[in-house]
Amino acid sequence: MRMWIRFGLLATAVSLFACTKKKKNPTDSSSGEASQKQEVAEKQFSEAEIMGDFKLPAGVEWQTNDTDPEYASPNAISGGTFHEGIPTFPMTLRRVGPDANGSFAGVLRSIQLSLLEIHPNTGRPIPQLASHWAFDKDGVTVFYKLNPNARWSDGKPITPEDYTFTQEFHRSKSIVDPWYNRHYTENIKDIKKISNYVISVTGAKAYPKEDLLYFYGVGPTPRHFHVLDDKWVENYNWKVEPVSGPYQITQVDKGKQIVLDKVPSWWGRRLRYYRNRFNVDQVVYTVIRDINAQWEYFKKGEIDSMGITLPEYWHEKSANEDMVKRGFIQRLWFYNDAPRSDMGMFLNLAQPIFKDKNVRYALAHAMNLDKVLKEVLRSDYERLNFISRGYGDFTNQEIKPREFDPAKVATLMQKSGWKRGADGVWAKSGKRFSVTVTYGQPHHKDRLVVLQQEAKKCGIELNLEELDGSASFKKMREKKHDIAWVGWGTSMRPQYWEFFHSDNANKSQTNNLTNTSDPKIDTVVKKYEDSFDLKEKAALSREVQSLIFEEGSIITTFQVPYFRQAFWRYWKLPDVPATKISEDALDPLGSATGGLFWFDKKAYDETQEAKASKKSFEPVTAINREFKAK
Amino acid sequence: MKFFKMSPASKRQFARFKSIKRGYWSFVIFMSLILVSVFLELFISERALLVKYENKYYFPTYGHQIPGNVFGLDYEYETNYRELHEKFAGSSDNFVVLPLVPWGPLENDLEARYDQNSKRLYPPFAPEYARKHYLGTDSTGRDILARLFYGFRIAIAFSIFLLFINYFAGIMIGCFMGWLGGRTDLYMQRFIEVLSNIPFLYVVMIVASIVTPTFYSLGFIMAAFGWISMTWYMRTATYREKARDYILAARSIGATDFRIIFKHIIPNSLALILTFIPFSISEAIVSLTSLDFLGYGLPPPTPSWGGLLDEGVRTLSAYWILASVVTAMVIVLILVTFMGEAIREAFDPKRHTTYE
Amino acid sequence: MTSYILKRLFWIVPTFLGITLIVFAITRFVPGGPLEQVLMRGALMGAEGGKNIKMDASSGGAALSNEQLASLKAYYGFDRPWYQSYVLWLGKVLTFDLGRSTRYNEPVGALIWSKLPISTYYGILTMLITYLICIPLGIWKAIRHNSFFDYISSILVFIGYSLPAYVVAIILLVVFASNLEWFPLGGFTSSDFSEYTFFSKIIDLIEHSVLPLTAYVLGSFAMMTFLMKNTLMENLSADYVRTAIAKGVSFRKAVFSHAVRNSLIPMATHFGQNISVILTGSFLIEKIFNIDGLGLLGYESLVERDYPVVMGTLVVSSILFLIGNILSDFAVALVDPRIQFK
Repeated sequence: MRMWIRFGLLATAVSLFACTKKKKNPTDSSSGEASQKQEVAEKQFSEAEIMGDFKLPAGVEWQTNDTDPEYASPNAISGGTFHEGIPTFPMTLRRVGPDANGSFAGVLRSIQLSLLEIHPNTGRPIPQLASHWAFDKDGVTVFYKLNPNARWSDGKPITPEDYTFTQEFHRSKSIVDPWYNRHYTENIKDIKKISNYVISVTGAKAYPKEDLLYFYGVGPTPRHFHVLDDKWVENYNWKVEPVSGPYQITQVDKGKQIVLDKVPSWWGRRLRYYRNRFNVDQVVYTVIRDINAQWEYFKKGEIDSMGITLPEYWHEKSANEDMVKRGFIQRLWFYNDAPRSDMGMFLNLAQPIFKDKNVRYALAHAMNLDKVLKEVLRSDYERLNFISRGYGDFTNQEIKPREFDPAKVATLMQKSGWKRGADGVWAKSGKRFSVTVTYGQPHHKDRLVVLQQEAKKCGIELNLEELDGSASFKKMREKKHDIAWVGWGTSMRPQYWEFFHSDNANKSQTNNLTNTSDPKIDTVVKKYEDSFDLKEKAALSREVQSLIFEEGSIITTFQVPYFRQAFWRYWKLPDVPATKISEDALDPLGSATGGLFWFDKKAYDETQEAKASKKSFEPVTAINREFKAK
Repeated sequence: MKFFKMSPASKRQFARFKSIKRGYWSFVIFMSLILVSVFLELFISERALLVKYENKYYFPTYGHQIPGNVFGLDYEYETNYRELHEKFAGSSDNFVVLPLVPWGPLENDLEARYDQNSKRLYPPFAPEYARKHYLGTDSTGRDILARLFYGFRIAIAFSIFLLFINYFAGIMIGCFMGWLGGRTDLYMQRFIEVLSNIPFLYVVMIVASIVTPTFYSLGFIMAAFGWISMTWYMRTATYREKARDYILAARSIGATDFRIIFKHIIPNSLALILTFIPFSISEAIVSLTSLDFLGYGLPPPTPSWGGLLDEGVRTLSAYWILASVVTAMVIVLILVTFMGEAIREAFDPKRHTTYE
Repeated sequence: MTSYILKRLFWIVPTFLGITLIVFAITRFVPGGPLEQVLMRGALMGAEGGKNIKMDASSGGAALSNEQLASLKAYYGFDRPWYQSYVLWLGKVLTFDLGRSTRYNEPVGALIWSKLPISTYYGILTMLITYLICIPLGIWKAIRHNSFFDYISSILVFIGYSLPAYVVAIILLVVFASNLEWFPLGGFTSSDFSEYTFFSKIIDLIEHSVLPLTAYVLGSFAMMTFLMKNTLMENLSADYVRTAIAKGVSFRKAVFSHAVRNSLIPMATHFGQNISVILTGSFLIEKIFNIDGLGLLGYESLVERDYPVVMGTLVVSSILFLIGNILSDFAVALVDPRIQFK
């Protein structure tokens, strides 16, 4: 492709044939389908048609949310094809079952909607497939009024039966997915059709009301599409499921490419919070295995946007790139404020050496994370103050991490009766302060070797044990580690029971990697779990955090409070280019944060012309701190 | 150690070896490299060779670390001799003698530095004469020259370790197979065939996923597969020797099997074995480097060529990493190959004939 | 002769069983298998940064019940003692069913079959080029032993010999693909290959093959050249050649009709042993040039613990190896009439 001319003798021959190659053009395939759209007249449903003979129990009221601000731009216009690179071809197009949790799962889940969504900026629930909701008095049941106009991409209406089928589907042994089996058995107790367009969802355990919507949120499953039998996993591996969202998979070129097209007259296109969004007509995902190769494709405009959060890409590669300097490619640095992953070193309290709190504190003071941040990570990442950051009131802002301080290490160690040995390492009754960090991410080696050298200065020998991902995780879950170097996923609210309750301590296969088993912490965690009141719960959450901090069993490391991205100049973004919890300003699909950008044909033509005539534009690097956490 | 007594034949062979200039000089250079790497701390190390402080002399190179407060510095951890060197620069009494390259293989030099436009630079740093990073640093500011040499030392020690196990096992098993022959030989052959078909890399990966490999564990795993080729040679050699008349003679005067194997067969095959040694060494170096390259070798922060190779490939913009390690590999492997060819030519009784 | 073949073929069976049995057993006792990888996902996060909140969240946390674990075990075939599973697996292999890949969820046979053309392409080309260069070069070097040409070419060949093929591959990639941009960075063909015309397809293929082929050839090249040279020189000094020359046969004839023929024997031995290498390729070169061949498939299946594929590639490569050994013997017999099978 690109080395045509340079290929010596063959150059002449090539130039004769090169012109027959199909050119890639983002506008190629878009215009045709847009004009073919046939509008399906939307029926206005009366309240009686929706509710049937169902009446809410006395004192229970329907709620909705039509007052939060919209976050899409009214200037958006539809059209264009958006190209993106993916590192591997998905293993399956199923959303559940074996291998359904790969990197493409995000796309597959994005195109299927749920009853409700969370407003990315306010954090309040907003309608999606359901227009209203109501909390029953039993504290575990929620009624939902469905949008009667909602349709699957194959034109069939989405009915309450599709929701009851969701439960049957996820409980089925045919899908070979014990996590979903369990969730829809133990957590979601019942999904019932109440009347024409009303359903109820009953959970197992009471939560504060807002949390019920989240923890027991469900979506419909196309009942007319699935046949649940022993062969389901195999049969549905590459079948394209009808979707409720705005895009549907239309082409699958195995190993190479997946194309999604906009669903013609998607039912939700006029809804508040969804209008002016999902503007591109087509989304093309192409497999490009290597990140360097992705960058090459991006430079040529064969993919339209690329995440460049990595320091090397932001500071070196993109900054030195001609296309960026000439303004063809624009860059965005956007601070978001989503819950942060708990990344850190989890000390195993069951190891004899960590029984002493002074030793744990000393270790924390011997970790020169600042140096790693400044010298290796170019001050680009930030220190993660403690676990459970970014959960609003649930986060205890008063906690500040223990800073690197060799003098404090010495004081603490001496207090516990340790002495520096001839090799410079602290020792006590024949035991040296030598501990092992177990980790599973080879690229974190750079950070760890610096920590190791700095710890040595403080008299602590830090051994590195690099295992492959699943083997290291297995070792940690069997609690055989000294120090586990991990990052945890996030959720709606901080979770403490699985990580810090004594129920899960000193047992294998649980997430309590620190083996924390402290009656005081147990009590507060239990209270937190049982609390229905958000305010009280938040206060308890903060209390748990300070207790755990006091324990000194976790040394939190880094956070990345932003994303950085580069994209071609003909892609336009709203004034506030992304939302509080976005991780990608040019995410075409996500039902909460995606589809905000649009294609500017004029700018595209202008760009192509400038490319040919060697013209330049003003280079653009935008830094947006709208949602930067204080 | 009968072999090392110079018999007239050995003398002739050695003279012949010396006459092959290319191989002989490769041998000399290679041996010097090994010698340097044995006393590497005297050439490349973060520790000073000699410190004179308040009329006392210190030799920090070997032995326990000397904390900074011994030299009047305000810290308890190991003295930074480069800083001490600068500190003593003005005084006439106290001095520090640093090695040629004053950097250890594990030290991170992350000192801030700037380019001409006073833009902050980040590791990997290009070669800089002023800070004595003659080949630059890697992505965490570790000196590449130091890592190359310490990596070489480990690789050489590893190959020699491996050589001993492989040759010992190979010679023993090979003789045993050749001597006994028959059914034992047949079953052993099948066993070897099975073994040589088990993906070696797979076994290493498995071990690496259970425990972090160490010098010895990695050596034993590699030996578990490495003894095979020596076994084949010895088996054939034994078969050949067994049929000779002198063995029959030895037998007829009542020599035991044990005696025949150790007094006759093995010594007679030693010349042949010797010619294999250089190739075994280069093979071991290459295998260890490959494993390190793939991430299944010795754990970080052990200095290794494979690790540098991997880093060099990932950060092509830091060309000095890849260039250094590839050059080092080319030099060492070519030395070994030249050496090996010369030894083979000198010890191989077959002389070639040319007709012109 | 026939009984010899039968005997050789018979010995393939226990060896094959031994190989597969051992590797199969290993797959059962290694941590990080498919089951554990499934258990890990969801609990550990993959990348840095938080996940988007989705209303449809299934919770992680507590351990699965035994019954749930059992159903997963059954799906991945871990519900029986390993020897039973082995017998089952072997039974399927005998009916040419290699099972399904746990990673791609596709039949292993089809997966291997789909990669075979790429590996064969490189394998056969490499072998052809190697033999076409090495045999004449070796002959020339033997005849002109110790000449200036011999000396210079030896040094070059030594350099090629001492460097592992993958290091050569890296150097080629850096110099000719990354810096000079003469060749593409990797891959078997361009991504939009199917849209090309026939002619540009060929050119595209050539462009992509030059560097990997060079790396492949350089690896085996040096050894073959020296093998050819050394054996030829041995033969030249052998009595029968001396006798021939003494009897007045021309030097040229002595070399080409007597010595060369005999010198091809060891080359032929290598031919058979190379078969498995030819078809399965070198995973390191494939990895560096991102060529989607059998070698890379085997390597990735090891890394990702895709056991059915591990076993599948093992079956293919070990059978090729065992057959290759027998073929070697035949090749030797073809060029050396002195050898007879017993």
